[in-house]
Order: sequence, then structure tokens, then C-alpha cells
Amino acid sequence: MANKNDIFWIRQDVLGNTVSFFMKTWEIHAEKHAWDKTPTSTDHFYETIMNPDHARRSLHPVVGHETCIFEKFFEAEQQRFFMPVLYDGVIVSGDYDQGGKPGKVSTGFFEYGQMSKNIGPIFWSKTEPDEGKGSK
Amino acid sequence: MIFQYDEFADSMWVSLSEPSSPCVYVESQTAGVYLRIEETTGIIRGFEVIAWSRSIAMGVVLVPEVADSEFQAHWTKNQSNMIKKSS
Repeated sequence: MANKNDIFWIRQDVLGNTVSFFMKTWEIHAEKHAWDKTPTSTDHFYETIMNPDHARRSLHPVVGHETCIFEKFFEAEQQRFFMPVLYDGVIVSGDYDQGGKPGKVSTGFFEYGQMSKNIGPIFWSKTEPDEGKGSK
Repeated sequence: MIFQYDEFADSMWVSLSEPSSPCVYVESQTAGVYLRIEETTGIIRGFEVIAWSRSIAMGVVLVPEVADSEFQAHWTKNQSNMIKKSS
């Protein structure tokens, strides 16, 4: 098991927040998903935070206001991958979309219906390279 | 039974038993937690409660009642949807 504060990586998300991916989060995730039909890898997490197709609101009743769900389609699995990130310092619900907040990777999963009730509307989408940074 | 708390993600993973074949995840309608279910047998191998400490603070932590008839209906419905998706 990783030490308490071991970090895989810290990267800036497309909204301008700083996201940390802790090794403990991955180790628990990897262990519990070892028998999944579609296993996830650290690459899925990395690619989804660095190059998402969309960012969605979370509808979770407890942490929805401070959670953004990044979404990316992976060709190899032919499925969408969802990655909730939990942000600190949210004052107004959903204000992580303004950037500047620290966040932590919560989990990551392929579709199959799980958490579908918590996946909210898209508020950011990737644009073509010549169209700029992204659209809100 | 093994409990693993991730303080970074604020999630509690409860492993009930080890699976021996691929598993899928469904959301329990009765408790709002995520259940790991062995697809071939239908046995619940574990469940995850996200926002664990926040839920405790709000007094709203619920664990699944796996014998509940509503849950069984929910699982059956989701299972058939998932089989359609993966086929």
C-alpha cells in the first residue's frame, strides 16, 4: 500500500484547476476493479484529465456541487470513460468551472450504467484545434 | 469483510467476498451506493459508499438492503440492459 501522501501526478485540468491523483486512490480502485469486464488503467485516468471530450456537472446529492465529471471516449474499448474530480474551496455550487481550485481524482469508470443517475449535463466540450481552447 | 477508506476521494469500499469471475457495478436504488456484483452468479461481492465522511456529517449514510424486493427488481432490470450493451 502506498504511503499516505504518495501522488501519481498533479496536472492542470482543462478548466484551469490543479488536480492530484493519489496512489492510494489508484490502489484501492485497481484492487476492487480487478475483476471488471473492462479493466481501467492509469492511462485512462491520465488521458481523461489531460484531453477530455466533455466536462459534466455531477448530480450527486452530497458532493455534486463540488464535483466535476470528465468524460472521454476510448477507441480501444469503444466506451466512454467517466472520471469524477472532487474540488476543494467551492463557494458557489459548480464554481470549479472558473479554475484555480485544487482537486482530487475521486474514481474512474467505463459506462455500463453505474453512477448514471449522478452524471449531469455537459458544460464544457473540446473544440477542434483551430477553434481555440474549449467551449463553456 | 474488508473496509478500505480513501480519505482523498472520501469513499469507503467494503469487500464482502472475493469474486472468481468478471463483475459489473450497479447503483442500489435503496441506498444510493455502488454494488459490485459477480455477473455469472449474481452474488454481491462488495459495495462502495462515496462521500463517506460528508454523508456521516449529514447523518445520511445508508448501506444496501440486499434482500429488498425493490433492489432485486432494479438489479434484474440493469442486468438485462448491460447484457444488451455488451453483446
